[in-house]
Amino acid sequence: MAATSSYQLGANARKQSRLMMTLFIFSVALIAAVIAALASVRMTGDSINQTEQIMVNWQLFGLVAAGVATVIVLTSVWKIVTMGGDGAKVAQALGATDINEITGDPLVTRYQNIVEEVALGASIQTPQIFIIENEPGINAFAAGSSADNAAIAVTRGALTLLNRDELTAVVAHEFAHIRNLDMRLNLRVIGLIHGLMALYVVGRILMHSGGRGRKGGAQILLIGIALILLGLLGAFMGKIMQAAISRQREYLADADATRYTGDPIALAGALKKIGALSLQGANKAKHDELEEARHMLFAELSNKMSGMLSTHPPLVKRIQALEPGFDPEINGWPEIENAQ
Amino acid sequence: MEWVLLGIVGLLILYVIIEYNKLVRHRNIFQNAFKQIDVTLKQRHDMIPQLVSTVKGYAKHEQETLDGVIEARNQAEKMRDQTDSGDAKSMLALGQAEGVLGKAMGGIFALSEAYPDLKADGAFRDLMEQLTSIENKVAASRRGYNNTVLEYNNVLETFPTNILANMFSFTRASELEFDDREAIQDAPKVEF
Repeated sequence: MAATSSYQLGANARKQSRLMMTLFIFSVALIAAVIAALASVRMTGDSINQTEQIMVNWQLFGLVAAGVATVIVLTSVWKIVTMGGDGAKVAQALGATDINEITGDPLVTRYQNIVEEVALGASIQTPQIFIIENEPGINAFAAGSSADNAAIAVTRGALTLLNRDELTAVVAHEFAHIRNLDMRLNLRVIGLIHGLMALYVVGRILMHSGGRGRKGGAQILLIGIALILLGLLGAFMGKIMQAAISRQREYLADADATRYTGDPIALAGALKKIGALSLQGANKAKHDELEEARHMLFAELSNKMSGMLSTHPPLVKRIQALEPGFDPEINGWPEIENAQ
Repeated sequence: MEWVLLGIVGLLILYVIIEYNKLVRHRNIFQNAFKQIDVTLKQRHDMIPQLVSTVKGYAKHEQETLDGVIEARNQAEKMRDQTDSGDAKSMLALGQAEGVLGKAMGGIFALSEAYPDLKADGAFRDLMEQLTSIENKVAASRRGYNNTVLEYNNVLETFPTNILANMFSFTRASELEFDDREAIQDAPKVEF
């Protein structure tokens, strides 16, 4: 790949993110249409005979389609509301500790200063600052549905292992997520996946009540099976799409972080240190909570989930987008030394 | 016929109101951005006495350099006090004063290289981190201010808004440029 400017990188990522969202909405509409068709299309006369006469009850079609869409939307909204958009609460739930006073720890002071500097550069208000203590690996996350309630957290390992410029780059990457409202998008996508899973639940209920040999029971059974299949398929596709959106958002955040700091090499440097740690198997999370929030983190925790379900682009590709000539076979990974 | 004329006049007035408000909005934005620079420059100036007294303890024979920094700091603080945001003259004066201060501070950073005890001092290291941070904040807020000035000037100077701007005496705003690029590059990176 030829050298791509950070601007182009951002524009491409934006376009692809939009495409993903459109696809997602389209598939929800498709599911609603299929279920509605199953419910409203009736074979008149004896269905055993070959006299094919298809009747569509359009009123029923509209009703069922609206019903399916309502179930998806209501479940999604419910999930989004209960997950909450408050960044500080999310950060605390993930085991991060709040720092809002002077600690006397020079590394923490430096981190606080960096957050303030980047906030000024990105012209958004300073988010709540958190540290994930007892976590020797390098990682970070941002949480919150808008800039007003955002929180930012880095691991203790990021404070000790990264130099000032590298930590600034990582913080700027998280700021880009806040500014691009990625947390909100992610929240919505998770909500949509839950909406599709609700179809599965409705399908199970229909299967049970439909099997009682009532009139039209076969059709209800059929709709139940379709709901289960489409719900599962939709949720699975949703996970793939969520991962794809997330991967694009990571590229976008890398590009934006470079724009804020004007220093792609520092961000590449931070990613290389993560690469070196991962090779030693040392960039795993000690907190179990973090493992669940892997899609939110600065770097992927393990290489188990590569491919379609991976929420982050491969590390080497992210580095290459910033530093086009990079090849770990030739350049190697950096030596990690503790700064303190 | 009269109705058409009346309509045209009405539309014209509406246009003037919209453009006028746009100018005011952009002026408020850049003036607000200047306040941000003002805050960070104040922080920068407030750090200097502490920096000088810390260095003094280790480098008694560098009185000249230290006096130079204090003098540059006082001059810059005076300029900051008098500055009228966006005014070409005061932006130039402030930019020059801050440039001189930046160079003088660069002198202290260079001096610290010659005094290993000073470099090893914990208080000096803390101070260096604070200074690095403030320098970054000054740079960030200056970039932000210059961007808002550019946007304001673009609105101000494009036709036909420029006619309105003239009528209501909106004047061109000036960017803030420091003449201290080398000094910032000379500053040693403090690593913890």
